[in-house]
Amino acid sequence: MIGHECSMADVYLATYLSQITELASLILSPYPNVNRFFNNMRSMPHFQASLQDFAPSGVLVNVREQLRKCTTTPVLFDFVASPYSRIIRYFCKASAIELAVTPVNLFAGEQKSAQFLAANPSGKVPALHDQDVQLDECVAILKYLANKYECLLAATRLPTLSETINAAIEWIMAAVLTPCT
Amino acid sequence: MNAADIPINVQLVDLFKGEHHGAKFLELNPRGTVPALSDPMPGGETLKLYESAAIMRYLAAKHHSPLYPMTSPRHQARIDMAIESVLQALEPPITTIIFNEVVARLRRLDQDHQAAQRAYLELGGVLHSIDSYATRMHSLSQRSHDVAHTAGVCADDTLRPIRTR
Repeated sequence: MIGHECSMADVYLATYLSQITELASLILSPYPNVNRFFNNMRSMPHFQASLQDFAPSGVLVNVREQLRKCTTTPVLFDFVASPYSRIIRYFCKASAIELAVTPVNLFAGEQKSAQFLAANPSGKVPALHDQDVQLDECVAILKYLANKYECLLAATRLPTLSETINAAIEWIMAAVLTPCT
Repeated sequence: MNAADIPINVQLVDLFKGEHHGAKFLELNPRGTVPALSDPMPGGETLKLYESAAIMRYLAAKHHSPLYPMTSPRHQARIDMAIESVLQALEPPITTIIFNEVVARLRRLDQDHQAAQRAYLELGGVLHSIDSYATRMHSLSQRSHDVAHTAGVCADDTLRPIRTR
């Protein structure tokens, strides 16, 4: 940190950064200099060794596993031919989000059945149930899942990046999907 | 310790099981915070230390670590300044994030999502200021440890306006 040699200050900064990248969802790529510094520090054998000290005790793995258990599996009502449904399926697959999928055959009119309407009054597909959350708009579902699982694909924690992604989603929805449908 | 090749006997204290409130640990550190260090002295006495910076400085001095050389007060002061700036700028938002996103979830306490979001913004601001300063210091940006150096250099004037904004 000071001068050209690695000092105690470097150890401090790198340790803080490793905490926030290991357990929470911060990604450093928007800060190239910080990212390079962190990767340099992380590639040093002694820094790796200090992280590996935790591996046998399984502290990090344990914490991550417990965090995963804290979340419920959302239920998605979808139809395989609907592009909106497929976007959500693809997003979940790419982000390793576990979904319980209930297929609704739109061609057979299942979305109008009393059973489906009881669960989803709007009668729209795709719809998502997650405990007390009920959603029925593709983008709303995506944003909800991205937020809940802190997905890198949506980068919800990085305002500037997430705004760019949002703008791109709106554009695809308006300019591409509408005429396709 | 790894970087400075200092032999150390690590005792894990499982905070999730509340081991830091146990009588055995409180004897070492009455405040019940980790990390804490116990170092037997030649006279039979045992030195008990807590606070990570104090532990690091003690071990660095004892083992003549190149990470914190005692030879030049000027160099040492700059390292101290950088450590303090990292602690002051990064610790508050990181603590908030880790509490709300990890500890609260595991303990099933109420998560303050707005506070976490604010902390992410604050942390992003700090990282951005460090990063852009490193870019401006063109000559520094070729070296591997320049970012941390920059964090120390811009501790006084660059970080503060961003944090109060």
